[in-house]
Amino acid sequence: MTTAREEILGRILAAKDNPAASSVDAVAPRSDRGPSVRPVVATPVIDTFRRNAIANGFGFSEAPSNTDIVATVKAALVENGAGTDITIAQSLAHIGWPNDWTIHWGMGRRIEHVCINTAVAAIAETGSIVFGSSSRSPASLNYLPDLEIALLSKSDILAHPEDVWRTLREMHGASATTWPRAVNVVSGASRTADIAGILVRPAHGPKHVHIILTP
Amino acid sequence: MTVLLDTFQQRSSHALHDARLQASLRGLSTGFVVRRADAVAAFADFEELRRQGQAIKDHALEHLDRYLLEFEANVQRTGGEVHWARDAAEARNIIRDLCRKANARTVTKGKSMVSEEIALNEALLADGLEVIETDAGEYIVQLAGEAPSHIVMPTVHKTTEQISDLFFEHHKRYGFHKRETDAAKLIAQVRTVMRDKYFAADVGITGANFLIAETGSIVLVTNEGNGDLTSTLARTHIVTVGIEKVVPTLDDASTLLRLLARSALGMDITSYTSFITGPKRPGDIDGPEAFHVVLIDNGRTKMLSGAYRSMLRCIRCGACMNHCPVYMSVGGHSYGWVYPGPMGAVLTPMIDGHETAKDLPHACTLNGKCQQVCPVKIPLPDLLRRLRHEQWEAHFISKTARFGISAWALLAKRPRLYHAMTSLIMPVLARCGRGKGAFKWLPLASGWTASRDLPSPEGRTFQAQWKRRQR
Repeated sequence: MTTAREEILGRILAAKDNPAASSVDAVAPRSDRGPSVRPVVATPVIDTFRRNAIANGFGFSEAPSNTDIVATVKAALVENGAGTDITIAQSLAHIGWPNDWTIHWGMGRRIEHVCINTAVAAIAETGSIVFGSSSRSPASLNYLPDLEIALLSKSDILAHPEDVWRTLREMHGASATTWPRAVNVVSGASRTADIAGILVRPAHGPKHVHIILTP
Repeated sequence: MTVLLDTFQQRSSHALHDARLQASLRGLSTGFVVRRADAVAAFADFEELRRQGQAIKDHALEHLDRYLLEFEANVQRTGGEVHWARDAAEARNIIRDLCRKANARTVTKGKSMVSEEIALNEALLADGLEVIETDAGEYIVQLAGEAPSHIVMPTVHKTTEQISDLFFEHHKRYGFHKRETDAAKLIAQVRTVMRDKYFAADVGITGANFLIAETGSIVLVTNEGNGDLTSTLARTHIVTVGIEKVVPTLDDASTLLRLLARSALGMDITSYTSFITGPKRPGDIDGPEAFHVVLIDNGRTKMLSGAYRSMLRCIRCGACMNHCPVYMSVGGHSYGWVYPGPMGAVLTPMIDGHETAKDLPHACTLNGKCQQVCPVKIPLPDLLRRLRHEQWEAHFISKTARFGISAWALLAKRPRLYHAMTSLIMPVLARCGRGKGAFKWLPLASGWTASRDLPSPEGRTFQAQWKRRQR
């Protein structure tokens, strides 16, 4: 009996302009098909990113050095009226967080006021931050809190999404099993206009996203 | 979902007299259309972007076997499974079986037009599962027992008051006893209800905007974050997707994403774009334990092999319906099935056959606007004309309409006769319409004049006036 897979692939082959020619080995690689048209990103890229991220509604601050990260996070918490019961990604365990905070190191919980995670990259074109899930950077932290704080290294800000893919390919290889389970591109707060077209923030995810630039 | 297209005329007539729907549709035309135009104008070379989007989709469709196999191999490499379904029934059975194997009781769903196409919810509910749509709009129409009326804005036909009534009726069991009429408070209820569902879900089902062959990733685009929570927190993630959604690379998807957000919402990008590749990795502390992709044909290979291949380029942005005078007059439910507007008028007969979708190709003024705004340049008016022709050839046109069209053709092919008859009729109509400006009623044409006026003619035919001016 023909399986569905065989039958569907058979129909696809029969639909080809030249059905005899399987295209498995006959496709030009993407690089041969010319560069994609994309918006020009003004340099310095960091300025374009900052402008577009703020336009997306992100909060924005900068830690001048790694020793300033805790103080910058504290200021962001105050700015957003948030408490100190926080879930922090394991990727940030090396930072000396205050002892009087209630810190949870697991995946996101049902009720989350604040989560802190590390962004692996940022895209200046759209003012987006990019997270790559791993055991040390759970994806649920990006969607469950009321306030998400993302730590982003300045050197990880790239012009276009294509630059992010190139970087990830260099790190992981496109089809390697180390490729992150989830690459989450976040470009604004969670929102919906499904009730009479009225824009409401948040829907299911964070109401506020705050980016802290690190060296 | 049951196809009810034989009632298109009754549905559209009802819609035209629904004042609330008409007000909602007016809002849609002034919102989406203006925002899209602004976003397109702000992009330096949107025409070239459209050309590239079309080229990517054409290339992927011509080499569909290669890219589906590459996608499948990469999903398997990361620990996921790929299933192939010839039709809706086979797809439903695969997913029901996966739910049984997962011992599922609660199923959360992200927005998926394909799952509507294969009538998945009905099948899962019949199996005794709790099925919850998590997109706010889809959840609202699920509570109302309705179908989405727009592929991007499923609730475009519903007012705040109607949604308030729905939540008041259905949310008491979640502890909400006060009737809310404020949109933010209503959405806050949805957020609270869904949090428990996300964590309780045994299976999370989402669609996919694109499939990436080079990595075996599925791409989810949302503004709410519901698809991400569905795919992250359920124990098993099942993706329902048409075979035409595969593209070669992440770069190709980036080009199409630039087109999608601008065409659908007039935005550069949506709040969340997620690239999901397989189940949780060893050591991961969240993510599903199992990851399944169900690749669905359901008429798509039939389109691939014929004159309708270009329809498979569709990236489901909804721009065609936002710019369609027919959709904007009658709304999505008039189309009677999952896909409304110009894209639905082509897709529905292709998936479900001419017999049930016979009115849809005629629900078009052929003004060409849909083709002008389509991000991947689908020649929708040409496809609709072709469908009309096929219907004519297959005798799906009613006897009355065939007689009328044949009579018209007989006249139109004989210019002298045509001219003689119109020269006789025009002065009569002009005399009858003198002082009125327009006819509000005409014998044998009351159906036509019920919803529009016929301007009364000047008295002479265009050709007669032209000849006179030439002298």
